[in-house]
Amino acid sequence: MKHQFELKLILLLLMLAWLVGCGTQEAGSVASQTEQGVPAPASELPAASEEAAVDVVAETQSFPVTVKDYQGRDVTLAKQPRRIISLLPSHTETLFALGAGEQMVGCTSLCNYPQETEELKQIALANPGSISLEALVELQPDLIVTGGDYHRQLAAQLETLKIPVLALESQSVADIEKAMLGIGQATGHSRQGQKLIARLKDEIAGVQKQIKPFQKEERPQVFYRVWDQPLMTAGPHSFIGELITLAGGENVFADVEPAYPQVSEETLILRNPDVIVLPRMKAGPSDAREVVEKLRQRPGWSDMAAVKEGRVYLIEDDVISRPGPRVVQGLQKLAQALYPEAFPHP
Amino acid sequence: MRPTQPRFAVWRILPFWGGLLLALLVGIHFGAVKLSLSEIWQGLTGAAAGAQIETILWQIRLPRVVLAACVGAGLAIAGAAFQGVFRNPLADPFVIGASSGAALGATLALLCLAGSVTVITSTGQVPWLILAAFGGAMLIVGAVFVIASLSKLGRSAPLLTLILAGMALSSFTGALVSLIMFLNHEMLNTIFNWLLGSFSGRHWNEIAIAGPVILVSGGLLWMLSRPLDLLSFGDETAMSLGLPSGKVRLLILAAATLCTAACVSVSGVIGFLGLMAPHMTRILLGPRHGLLIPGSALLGATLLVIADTLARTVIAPTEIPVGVVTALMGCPFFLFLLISRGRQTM
Repeated sequence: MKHQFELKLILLLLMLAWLVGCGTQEAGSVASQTEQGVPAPASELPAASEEAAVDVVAETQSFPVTVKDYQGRDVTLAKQPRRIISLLPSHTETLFALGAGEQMVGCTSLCNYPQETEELKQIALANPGSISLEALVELQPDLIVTGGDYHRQLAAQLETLKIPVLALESQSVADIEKAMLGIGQATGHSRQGQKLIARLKDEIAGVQKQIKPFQKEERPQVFYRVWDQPLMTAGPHSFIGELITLAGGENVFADVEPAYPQVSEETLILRNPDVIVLPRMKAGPSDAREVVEKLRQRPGWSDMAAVKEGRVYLIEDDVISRPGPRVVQGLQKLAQALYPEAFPHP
Repeated sequence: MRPTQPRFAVWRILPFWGGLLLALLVGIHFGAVKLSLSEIWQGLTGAAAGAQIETILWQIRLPRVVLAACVGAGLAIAGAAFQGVFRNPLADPFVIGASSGAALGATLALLCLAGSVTVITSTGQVPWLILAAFGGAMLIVGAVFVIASLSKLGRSAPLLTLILAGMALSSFTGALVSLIMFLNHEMLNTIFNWLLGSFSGRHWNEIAIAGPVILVSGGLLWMLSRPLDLLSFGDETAMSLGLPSGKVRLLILAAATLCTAACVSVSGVIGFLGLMAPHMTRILLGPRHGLLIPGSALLGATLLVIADTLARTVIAPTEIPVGVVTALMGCPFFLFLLISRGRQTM
C-alpha cells in the first residue's frame, strides 16, 4: 500500500514537472514567435509605408478619417490601413481599382480578379459562417472590409476583437458608388474614389447613349435565367434586374418581389421573352448555340421568340453578377445582347 | 375486393375518387397563367385555342398535376405499408433512409452537373438527376439493410434495428448534404429547394420514369394487403396463421422502398404526406389494408395535387416549394381529424 502511495506521489510530481516544463516551453515559443513575428512585418513595412506615404502626400489626405458605413455609423481609422482584408469579391475589385491593392493582405477564395489577388492570403469562403476568426486575426489586419447585412454577425465579432470593420453593401449601382467613396476615404484614396465614381457614371451614360438611337417604345422583354431547376430568375430588385433596366430592357418578371425568385414556367412561356440571358459558369457550356439547342428541346421553350430567333446570350457570371467596378463590362454585354444593331463592331 | 371486406366497403371509397377528380380539375384550372374553362376545354379536346395555351396546358400544367397525383399516391401507399410492417404509427416512407439517400444522390448530381443543368430533365435526355436520386435512395436503404443484418440485435428485433440504422444513416447523409450545401454557397438555393420538394419544371419525362415504378410497386403492396393485415397483429399471430413473415416482410419493405425512391427521385423530399395520409384514411376508412391502401393513395394524390396548385398560385408568378405547403396545409387538417374522429379508431 505504502509503495503504491509513493509511486503515485512520484507520478504526480513527474506530471507536475512535465506540465511546468510544457508551460515554460509554450511561453518560450510564444515569446520567440513574437520576437520573430513582430519585427518581421516591421522590417517589411517600411517599403510599403514609404509607398503609402507617397500616396498620402499625393492625395493630401490626412488620418484619422471617419467614414460612414452602410448603416450610417461612423468608422474611425487612426492611420492609413496597411493590412486590409476584403470579404467580398466586389469590394476586392473596388480596392484594386482604387489603387489600394498593395495595402491588402487577404481576400476570400472567391476573389479572382484582378490577378494580383492570387498573391494575397485567401480566406476560404463558402458563406459567412465558414470564415475563421482565427485566420482573420492571424493576418493582423488593420481594416476588414465586409458586406452589409450578409456579414452582420461576423462584423460584430470583429468589433469585439477591436479590429476596424468597414461594412458596405454591394447590391446595386448606388451601392457600388457608396463603396467606392467609403473604401476610398478609409484607405487614403478618396480622390481616386471620386474619380472612379465619375468614370463609372460616364461609362454607364456612354452605354446608354450608344443604345439610345435604337430604342423603341417597346423595350425588349428579357428573361435572365439564374438557374434551371428550379427555374430561378433575377427580380427587378436585384443587381442584375437593375442592369437589365439600365441596358434598355424590360424584365419579363418585373412583378416579383424577391431578388432571385423561383418562377413559374407557365408564366415565362406566356410572357414570351425576346431575349434570354444566362450567366456563363466555369463548368457550363461556353457556346451560346449549344445552350439554344438544349433549350429548344424543352417543352414549350421552342416556341419562345428568344429561342426561335436564337437570341440567347451567355455573359460571364463574374461581370454580370458582381456589383463592382467591372459593372460596366456586364452592362455593355447586356446592352449588346439587347441592341446588337447598336454595336456594329463587337 | 377482398372477400373479408364487407361488400358495401367498396362504396366508402367513392368519395375519395370524387375528391381526387375535383382536385385534378382544380389543379388544371388554376395556375400562374389564368386559363378560362372554355380555353381548357378547347385545349384538351384539341380545338384551336392558341399554340401558347396548348403548350402551357399540355406540356407544363397537365404533367405537373399528374405527377403530383402519382407522387402523392406513391408516398401515401408507401407510408401505409411502412406503418403496417413496422407496427409503428410514426413510420413514414423516409424512415429507412430513402429520402436522405435520394437527397444525397441528387445533391451530388447537381454538384457534378452544375453547368449542364439545362438538360437534366429535358425530354429525350438522360435524366441524370432522377437516376442519381433513385440510385442514392437504393444505396442508402441497401446499406441500412446490410447494417441491420450484421447487427446481432437484428435477430431479436429486426424492425427496431432497421429503424435505428435508417435514422443513423439518415443523419449521416443529411450531414453530408449539409456539408455540400455549406461548401457550395451558390447552390444553396437549388439544393434547399430540392430538400423541400418541388414539381417545378417537371414534365412527362418524369412521369414516364417514375409512374410505372410507383404503379407496379404500389399495386404489389395492395396485393399484399392481407399479409399486411396479419403482420400488423404481430409476428407470432402472423406465423401461427401460416404466413412466412420474414420473406413477406422483406417483399413489402422492398416494394415500399422502391415506391418511395421513385417518388423522391422526381419530386424531392416531400414530408408529412406519407405519414399523415394513411392516418387520415385509417380514421375515415378503418385499418384494413385492402381498403386502406387504395384510400391512402387517392387521398395522398388529392392532397398533393391541391398542395402543388397552391404552391404554384399563392404568390404567382413566384413559386414556393410544395413540401412547405403540404406541412402547413396537412397538419391542421390531420389534427382536426384526430380530435373529431380519432377516438373511434385509433
